[in-house]
Parts: sequence; structure tokens; C-alpha cells
Amino acid sequence: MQAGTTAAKTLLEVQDLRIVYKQKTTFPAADQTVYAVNGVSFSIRQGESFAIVGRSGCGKTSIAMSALGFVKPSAGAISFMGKNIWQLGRKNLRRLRPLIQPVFQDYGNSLNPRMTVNKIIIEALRAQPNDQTHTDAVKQLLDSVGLDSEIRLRFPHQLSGGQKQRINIARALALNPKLLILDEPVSSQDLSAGVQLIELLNRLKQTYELSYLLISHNLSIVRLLSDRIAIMKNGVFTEQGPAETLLQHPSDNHTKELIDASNLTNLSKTGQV
Amino acid sequence: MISIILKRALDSVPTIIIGITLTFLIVHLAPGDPGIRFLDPSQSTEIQQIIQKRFGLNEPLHIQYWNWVKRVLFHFDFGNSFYNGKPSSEALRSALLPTILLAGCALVFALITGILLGILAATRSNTFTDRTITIIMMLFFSTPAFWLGIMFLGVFSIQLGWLPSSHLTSLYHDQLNTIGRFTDYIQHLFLPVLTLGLPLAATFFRYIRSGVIEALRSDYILGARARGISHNKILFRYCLKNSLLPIISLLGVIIPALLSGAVIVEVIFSLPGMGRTMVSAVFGRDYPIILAASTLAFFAVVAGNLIADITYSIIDPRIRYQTRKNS
Amino acid sequence: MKRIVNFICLDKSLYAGSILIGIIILFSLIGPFLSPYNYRSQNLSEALQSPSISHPLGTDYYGRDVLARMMHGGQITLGIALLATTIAVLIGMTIGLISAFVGGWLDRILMRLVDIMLGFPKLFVILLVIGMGYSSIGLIILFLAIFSWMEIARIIRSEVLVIKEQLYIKSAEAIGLRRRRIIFIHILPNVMGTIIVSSVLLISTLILIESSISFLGLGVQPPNASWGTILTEGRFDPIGTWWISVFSGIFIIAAIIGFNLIGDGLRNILDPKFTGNS
Ligand SMILES: Nc1ncnc2c1ncn2[C@@H]1O[C@H](COP(=O)(O)OP(=O)(O)OP(=O)(O)O)[C@@H](O)[C@H]1O
Ligand SMILES: [Mg+2]
Repeated sequence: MQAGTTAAKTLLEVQDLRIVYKQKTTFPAADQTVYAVNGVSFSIRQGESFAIVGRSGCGKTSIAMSALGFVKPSAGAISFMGKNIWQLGRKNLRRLRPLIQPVFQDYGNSLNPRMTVNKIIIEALRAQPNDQTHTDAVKQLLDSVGLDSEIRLRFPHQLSGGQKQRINIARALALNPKLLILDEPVSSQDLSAGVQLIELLNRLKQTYELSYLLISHNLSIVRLLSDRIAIMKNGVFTEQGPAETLLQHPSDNHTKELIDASNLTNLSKTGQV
Repeated sequence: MISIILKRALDSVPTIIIGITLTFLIVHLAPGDPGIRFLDPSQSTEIQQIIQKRFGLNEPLHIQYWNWVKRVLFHFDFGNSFYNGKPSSEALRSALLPTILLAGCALVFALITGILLGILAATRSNTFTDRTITIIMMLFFSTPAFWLGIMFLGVFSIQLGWLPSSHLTSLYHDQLNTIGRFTDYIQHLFLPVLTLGLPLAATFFRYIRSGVIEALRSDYILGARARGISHNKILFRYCLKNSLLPIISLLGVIIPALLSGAVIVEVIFSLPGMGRTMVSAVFGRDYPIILAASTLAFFAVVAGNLIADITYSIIDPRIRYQTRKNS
Repeated sequence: MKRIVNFICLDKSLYAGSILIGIIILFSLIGPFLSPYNYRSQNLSEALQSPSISHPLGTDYYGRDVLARMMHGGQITLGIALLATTIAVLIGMTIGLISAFVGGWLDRILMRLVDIMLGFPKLFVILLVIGMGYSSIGLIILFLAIFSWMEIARIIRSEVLVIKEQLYIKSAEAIGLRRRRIIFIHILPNVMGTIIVSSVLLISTLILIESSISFLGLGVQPPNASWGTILTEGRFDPIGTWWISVFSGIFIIAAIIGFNLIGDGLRNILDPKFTGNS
């Protein structure tokens, strides 16, 4: 893995991020406070894939939402290409946003049910200056995520789960992003589909010069895609490091448990891919 | 529980204050001067001023308002009617009974009719019976109370002469024995209650019918049926209870609607209730009566909402500890 | 046009309601041009005739043709209800959107206002306001609207709050779209269905309220006449002048049923569980 090259620029830098959810109930006065992320630091360099792995509810999505500018951190800093995104102001944040694109965990709900695939992607294309005619660009994008261009005229409810996910990816690519945040890219799919998706993501990374922030609860999937991995538990990273080192010499019990758990799902053989 | 009730009661204070203040402003800023009504135009402005002074209408508006509030709060005095000089509270007290009788009977009638027909239609859903009942109820749902009232009045009171056409009691009411008085009331209230109750029954019917149909289809009822629980028990114990919930939450809307409906019905059937008092006070610019009646109406509505909230939280424990926002 | 017709045929209620309302609107708008009588011209020698060939719905106390009056009444009644609904929907939409998007104390104040105004006994208050002398048609429309925007505001606010959190809105934001575009392209079209259903149902409520007030003699004043005003004229002798109250009542009921049917039908179609005719 070539990610170790120190020359590459830092793309995303997260420092001591803390996220607290306060649920206000006026009556009865029982405000609930959830400490979702409790001091997390990491950075992603250009061209690198960084993965966050942890059990359900440990705060992975919250980190992603914060990096996307949706959930305000209660403390800490998130900078993208040297700019603290939470101090940019609304207008500048909007300009920056196309560069960080999400593929949400619940990708089925990420497509406006009233828009055709064509409209969805063209809307993204319009947000960027683009010399191609839109229809060609749409066809090309669909092709690059492995979808038939005939799908263009369908509405989201006429698509399968996997197709919706790929549309999400295509829409993200339309904006020429630098960083793609993939929240549980392979959670509900069967094994072979998962492997196919991973191959696709690896290929896209090369062609579009992308960096990835991967989020998953499954180590064995993540190892195929990532250069560095962080293990997360209860809102903190218990361990982070280069993928192979971390998997072969885990220093933390929790990491070992996660490795065992992913072996149990019998995915280890995909390691040969 | 008590703190919930207190909190909700406190919540409704602004409603009452704003409502009453608004009413006060509307009444006092309206064109037309009640003082002039008692004068013939040839009389001097001096007399007009004297009358204004007697009614307390010569002072600045905020002072009038403040005086009114003070009197109401500390003496429970709503002022005297411009017409007969009697205290407004007295006039309202006598108007309260007919309205309460009318609205209460109509509510009970509507509940019984709506629930029974709703269950009947739901258990026979998509049959001839269901369709007939549904269409009739749709008709009542869309029929204005005043039209229904006039039709009833024309057919049953005037044409057929079966029932009295106006007032709450007969002239000879006081000479009757207890049973006689009771039937006298029933005869006088029958058509008004029907007029006010039928459209409401149609509203209930819609909720109950769709609620019961939905409940009958739910997995949970299918499970109960599979366990061999009897049909009637399923209907009344499970389905009906579930479909009553939306109706209870509707109570907050129903009470203002009943009050509004009562205005119309009382005017048609000349019942000496709140609504009629209100309408004639509006026509006659009798400010104290209008204000007293509005105040009472706001309190009734707020109280109704409170009762609905409390009943609802007792019946459905799920919402007891939630805010209204989340529910 | 063809698409509209196909859409209407999706649901029986919508179909029936549209036809009913279509007929009533045509009757009120085109009718006056076909009728030989004017709604105001009196002819005392023909007063209080029961329905006949020359006066299909009879005549009133002043010998005016009731059919011609119904046509005029339809314009007034429907005009008031439609305009008031439009204003109410605009107010409700604005307040609902502001409440949902600005949030915070403004949201709390606005929703409090909604609570308070919903607590008013509607007819009672409208009766009071209009009865106190504000009874020109313009003011009637205004006051009907002022007291009926609350449900729409509340519905829009809660729908927008739900939709705002949907991931497709987040995705649109992530693309870097402007807020205005997100509101008008992504959020509003998804609440439009609910708005349309509640506005159609509001029309029938307002027809009911307006005719109630006019019936009490406090609403639309002569020489103008809504169906409610006309009905009052037959009220004191429901048997001797039955045609006045019966026919004006039938028009009011037909209009209310029509709009209720359209509302129900639209609701059925827009319901995600919709599967053709029920
Ligand atoms: N909007 C919210 N309001 C309140 N609490 C929240 C909110 N979103 C998440 N949480 C809480 O924060 C914690 C972390 O949630 P998060 O969604 O980040 O977990 P996750 O690691 O992505 O889990 P999963 O793998 O199941 O998606 C959880 O306990 C969750 O209940
Ligand atoms: Mg998650």
C-alpha cells in the first residue's frame, strides 16, 4: 500500500472531536444527554482510505455527520483542506460541500422519491461547472458505477437496494469530490454483491482519485478497502493504525473480539480476492 | 399526574387572556355606538354623553379594559346589560342550563349513534348495509345544522305538529308533575338534540368505522382470533378501545364545535341558551353580555381541552410522559 | 387535460366530487348568462310562486327568480370560500415554513399562537367579529381566513420537520444546493399533497361557516346574497315557502359534499398504501 508516502497532503483533519446530543423535553423536564463521540482525532491524506470500525451505536455515523457539516460538534475541530468547516459560515460551507460527498447508511432514503434518476444526477451535475452535455454525463456516470443507462428514467421506488446505492455513488461522483464518506457500504447485501461493490469502489478510487472515509461494523470487509483502520468503542478510538499491522497484531481486546466476530461470518476467504 | 394537570392548566392561561382581550378590542373598536341606539336623533349630544358615561364608554379604551378586568377578577362582576340593567352574570346563568342540556344530550346521542353504527358498518364492511349507512352518514356529515334544523322544524313541528317548535319548556311547565316535566323537556329538546347531534354522530362514525376496520385487520387482532377469543370480546375489548382514542383526542375540537353548533340550533328552535343570548347581544350591541358570554365560552373550550388531555393520558399510558410535540 | 381526467378517474370519490363541483361551478358562472331573470330585479306581482316552468325553483318574497338567485349565490358562496381558503393556505404555509425552518423561540411563539387560535370557538368568534359590523364581503373573506390558517400551518410545520431530516434533503445539502432551492424543489413538492387535501377540506368548512353566519343574518348582506342569505329568506315559513329553504340547502350540501369527496379522494390517492379503488 502506497499510502505511507508522507508527501501527500492532509485532506481531512479531525481533532479531539466530541459530539453530544441533547434531547429537550419541555415537559416533563427530563432532558436526555447522549455522549455519542468523546474525543476522537484522526486525519485522512489525499488518496488514502481510512476506516472506522465499531459495534452499532458507538458513534460512527455521528462522526460522519459532523464531517459533512450536519451535526455540530460540541468540542474539537474538523478541517477540510486546511479550513475548519464549522467556522466557514453558511455560504463558504456550501461552496466547499461538493468536495465531501456522502453515501449514507440508509441510502434508500437518500434519493428524493419524486425525482427520476436522471433528474437526481443532473441536479448534482448542475452544481458543478461541466463541459459535457448532461445526458452524456449521466450515462457515463451510470456506466462507471456499473448500471445500465436505461435505468435513467426510473423513480427511486422502482430500483433495487443495490441499484439505489450505486445511484448514490454516481451522484456523489458527479460533483468531482475529493473525499467520499461511505457509511456501511456493505451491510445488508449478500457476499458476492459485497465483493463486487468493493471492487467497484477500488476501481473508482483509482479513476477519480478519491479518498475514502469508510464506516463499518465489519472488519473483514473494511480490510479489503482501507489503508488505515480505527477501532471505535463507546465514542472513542481504542486503537488506530495501518490496516495490516492492526489486523495481524491487535493490541486491544476489543479489536481481537471484532476480528473474531468477522471471522465468524466466514468472510475471511474473501481476503484472497 | 397532578403536576401535568397543573401545567396544562397554566398553559391555557394565555389562550384565555388573549381571547378575552381580543374580544374586548373587537367589541369596543367596532363601528357603531351602543349609546345612540337608545336615542332619537333629534336629541342633543349632551344626553348622548350622559348615556356613554353611564355605560362607562367615555373613558380611554385601556382604562375601560382595566376597569372591566378588575371588576371581573375581584367582584366576579361582568357589568350590567345595556338593555335591562340586570347583571350579565345573572343573564348568563339562566342561559347556561339550556345550552348544557342541549350540548350534553347531543354529545351523548352522537357518541352512542356513532359508535353503534360505526361498529355495525365496520363488521359488515363493503356490504350493502355498510354502504347505505356510510352514505347516509356522509350526507349528515356534510349537512349544515341550520338546514337540518329548519327541515325538522318544518316537517315535525309545523307540518305534522308532533313536537313543539320553540323554547325549552311549555308555558304550563310549572304545573306539571315530575314525569310530566321530564317528558316536557324531552319533547322540547328532541329536535334540537337531533339537529346538533347528527352531524357530530357522522364525524364519530367515520373515525370508529375506519378505526375498527383497521384494528380488525391488524396482526394483533388476528393473533387474538387465532387464540380463540370470542368475536364480541375482540370487537368491544380490543377494536373499540383502540378506535375510541382518536375520538377522545378530538374532544378538544368537539367542544368548540358544539358551542358553535349550539348558537345555530338555539336560534332556530328559540332556546333561551348561551348562543341565542350571544346572537341577540351582538345584534343589540350589548357589550357586557357579549364579553361575559365570550369569557364563558373560552373557559368552556379550555376546560374541554384539559379534560381531553387528561383522559387521553389516562387511557393511553404511552403518551403520558411525552410532550405533545412528540406525539 | 387528458392527464387531469385520468388522474380524477383514479378514485371514485374524487371522480364523483369533481363532477359535482364542476356542475356547480358551471351553473354559477355560466347560468346567469342563460337565465332570463336577474338576481336583483323584483316583480312583486310574481311574489312567492312555487316552482313552475317559468320559475323552476319558484320566486321569493319580492318576486325574484330563485334559480337566478342561486346562480348569483353560488358565485358569492364559492368565491368567498375559495378566496378565504387561498389566503388561509398562504398564511398557513408561510407560518408553517418559518416555524419549521427558523425554529427556536420564533417556532415556539408561532406554535403557541396556533394553539391559542385553535382554542377559539371558531363560529362564535367569527360571528362576533363579522356581527360587530365588519360585514362587507372583503372583510368576511379576510376574517374567515384569519381564523382558519392554523391547521394548515401546523400540518406543514410537522411535515416539513419530518422531511427536513430525511436523508435526501441532507444529500441535497451535501451537493451544495441553495436553501431556497432545497425548500422549493425538494421539500415543498413533498408536502404539497397534504396541503392540497387540507385546503380542499377547508373549502367545505368555510362554505359551512359562511352560510351559517349569513343564515344568522350577520354575513353577506343584501343586495348581495350567498346561499346562506337566501336560505334565511325562507326560514320563517319552512312549509309555505319550502322551495327557498330546500333548494338553497341542497346547493350548500352539494357543494360541501363535493369538496369533501374530492378531499377524501385525494387523500386516498396520496396515501402510500393506495392500491386503486377501495
Ligand atoms: N439525532 C440524535 N439524537 C440523539 N441521539 C442520537 C442521535 N443520533 C445518534 N444518537 C445516539 O448517539 C449514539 C451514536 O450513534 P451513531 O448513529 O453515531 O452510531 P453508529 O456507530 O453509526 O451505529 P450503527 O452502526 O448502528 O449505525 C447512539 O447511542 C445513538 O443512540
Ligand atoms: Mg451508523
